[in-house]
Amino acid sequence: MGEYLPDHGGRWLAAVRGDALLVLPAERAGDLLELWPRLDGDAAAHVIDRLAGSGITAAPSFALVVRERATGTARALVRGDLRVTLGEVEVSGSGVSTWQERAVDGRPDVRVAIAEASEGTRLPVVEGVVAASVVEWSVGRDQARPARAVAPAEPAAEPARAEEPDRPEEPDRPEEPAAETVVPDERTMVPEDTVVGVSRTERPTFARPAVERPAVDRPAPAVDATATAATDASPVVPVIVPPDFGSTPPARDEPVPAAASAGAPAVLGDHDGLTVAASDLRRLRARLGGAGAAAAGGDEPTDGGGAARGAAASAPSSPPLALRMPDGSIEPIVGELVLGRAPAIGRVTGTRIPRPVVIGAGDPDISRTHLRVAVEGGTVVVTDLDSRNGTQVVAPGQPPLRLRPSEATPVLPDTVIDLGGGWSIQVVVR
Amino acid sequence: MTSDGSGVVPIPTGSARIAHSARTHVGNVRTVNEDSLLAQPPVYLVADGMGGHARGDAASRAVVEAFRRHLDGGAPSTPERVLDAIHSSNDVVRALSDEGDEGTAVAGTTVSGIAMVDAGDGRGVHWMVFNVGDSRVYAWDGRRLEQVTVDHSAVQEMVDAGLIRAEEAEKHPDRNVITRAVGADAHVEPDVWLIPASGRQVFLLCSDGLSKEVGDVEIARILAGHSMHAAGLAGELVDAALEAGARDNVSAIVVESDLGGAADEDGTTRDRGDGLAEAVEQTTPRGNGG
Repeated sequence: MGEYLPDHGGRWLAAVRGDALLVLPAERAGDLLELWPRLDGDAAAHVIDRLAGSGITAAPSFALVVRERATGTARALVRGDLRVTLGEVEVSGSGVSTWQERAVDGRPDVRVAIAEASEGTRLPVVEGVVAASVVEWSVGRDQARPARAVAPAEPAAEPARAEEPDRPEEPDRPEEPAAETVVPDERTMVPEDTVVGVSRTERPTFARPAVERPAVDRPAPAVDATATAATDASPVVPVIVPPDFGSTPPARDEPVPAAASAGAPAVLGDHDGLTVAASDLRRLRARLGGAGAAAAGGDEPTDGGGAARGAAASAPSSPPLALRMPDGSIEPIVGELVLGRAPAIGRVTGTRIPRPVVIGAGDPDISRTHLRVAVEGGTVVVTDLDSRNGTQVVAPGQPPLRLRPSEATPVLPDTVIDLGGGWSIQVVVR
Repeated sequence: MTSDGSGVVPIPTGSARIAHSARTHVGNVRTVNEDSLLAQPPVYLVADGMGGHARGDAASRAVVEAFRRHLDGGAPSTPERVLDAIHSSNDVVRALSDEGDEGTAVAGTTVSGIAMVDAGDGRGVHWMVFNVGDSRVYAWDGRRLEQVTVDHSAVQEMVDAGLIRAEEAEKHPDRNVITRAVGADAHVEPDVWLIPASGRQVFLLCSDGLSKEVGDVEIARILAGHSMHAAGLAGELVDAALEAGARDNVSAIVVESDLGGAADEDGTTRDRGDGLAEAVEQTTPRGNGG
């Protein structure tokens, strides 16, 4: 749910769609039109491709905020003088020749200050394009509802909507609870696990609100009152917990926000930018015929003894998902694989160590540590590990797609993964 | 205690010659040396029993014994077996805490080390670096000293969070607070790295008694002075810590492995276009965005 202060000069356009908020100068309306259908998907990639496609100096000022549906993490890319506030973190592109990128966990409220905030009435925006000087976007209010196709923007539909006074300078914000410095101890210091190539921007910050914000500060519809009280660790959105996992949550090697690892293993949401709707997951699982069950086997918690740990490598449930290697051999995707010319595994914590798999030995086109492949939630997920020459994936009947570095991307069976230099592998169902 | 040694370890592609020097010293202030070492090619570790805790020396020795039991010398191990050794160490150290008369006294220890492992693809071996606590593993390539492990310490977490700078960590009052230790909890969570073993590689394993007394620059100077010969380097490093005060126990193991061929026989990755320099070794924490 967003609110905006109209910009009567019409110099800036703010587009709200799905989980993305994009602000562009009005003269780039053409770009906005092009990007509009793509805001639903991998918005960051499309926006950067489009705006910086003809050179970074030619790119306009812009602000893009994408929230991850599952975790509530808000990620902002800001170029130019726009100021984006994610909770208590301010992101601005001023003084930076490219753009700034920040990610903040915990469903931060989002505010984009575009121009001098003038007096005026704040108007709601659910989805659509508006001329705005300030946009505020409260994360986590309406995520449970499916995104609407059109932007009715009817305040009447939002029950118990508090009358919002004009507050161009955000008088309420300074009263927000001061950040509390968490005293490190064994519990709070449980550091997040780290996998090579996975963005460290998601690491937990030490400063976090000491208490919930006063309810009066949040113009939340009454229907969400219970959700408003939710803590970071108890997600408002439905978290995807594949039923096959049973009652025990699978051990995760991905970075987990500190709050979650401290006491809420229920947050199994997406840490890698991969968002899979529950319905898609079911469909996929039905198609793969039991791939999920196998993934559960591969992902089983490893709090057992050494025997269990050893057994994980030779998963008894024979996972159907595998990679066909260039030499024709089949490499089952059990746990996590790291492929490259001489793959190194960066800092990982826990009992499950990614398996290095050599591909393209001796070919300097292939990076030593090139690609990560894992099964997550029954889906194969590939991540280019900042390889020098990149990785392309070609889904059946689709044009090649270049992976963005360090961004986990789900791929379907039969997808060909091209590491360059003629080295290709294919995702197969055994 | 000083020990130097070497061994030849058979690997799928031939053999690896591994030489080491190891030394541990009680230091100038302490009366008990709570550090323990294991140098049993191709497994090397330092364990620093937690100061002020009951049986810190017993705890670090228990880790060495657990590794001896779990890992055979003379051949590459597997990541699973090394993890088993760490988890078994945890159980043994916890048992030490339980059987004491001191009531709430808890035994604990760090462990940092390297073990040559066959990670499963049968096409080469890796050095598995493991760490719990604030002892360290460094990699030395003849020019650069790189800290592979990331301390499990309060100050490291503060540095990662951007609350203090790395230089401030050395002086911070909480610099001795570690956030993970063997024996501290029912389940220990080691950090692990797998570094492809190739050519000539040098690792330094040390307790914080060395890294807190002798800076990285001085360590690098000492390592460079011997043109990558392992013999006696651990002794020279410990001597440097003793000269600097050695308020804590000091331990160091320098391991040099040679698999033949150049350090990077694969050469560097050829640039097909744009790209970033690849990070083979260490995942350094990227600041919080930016």
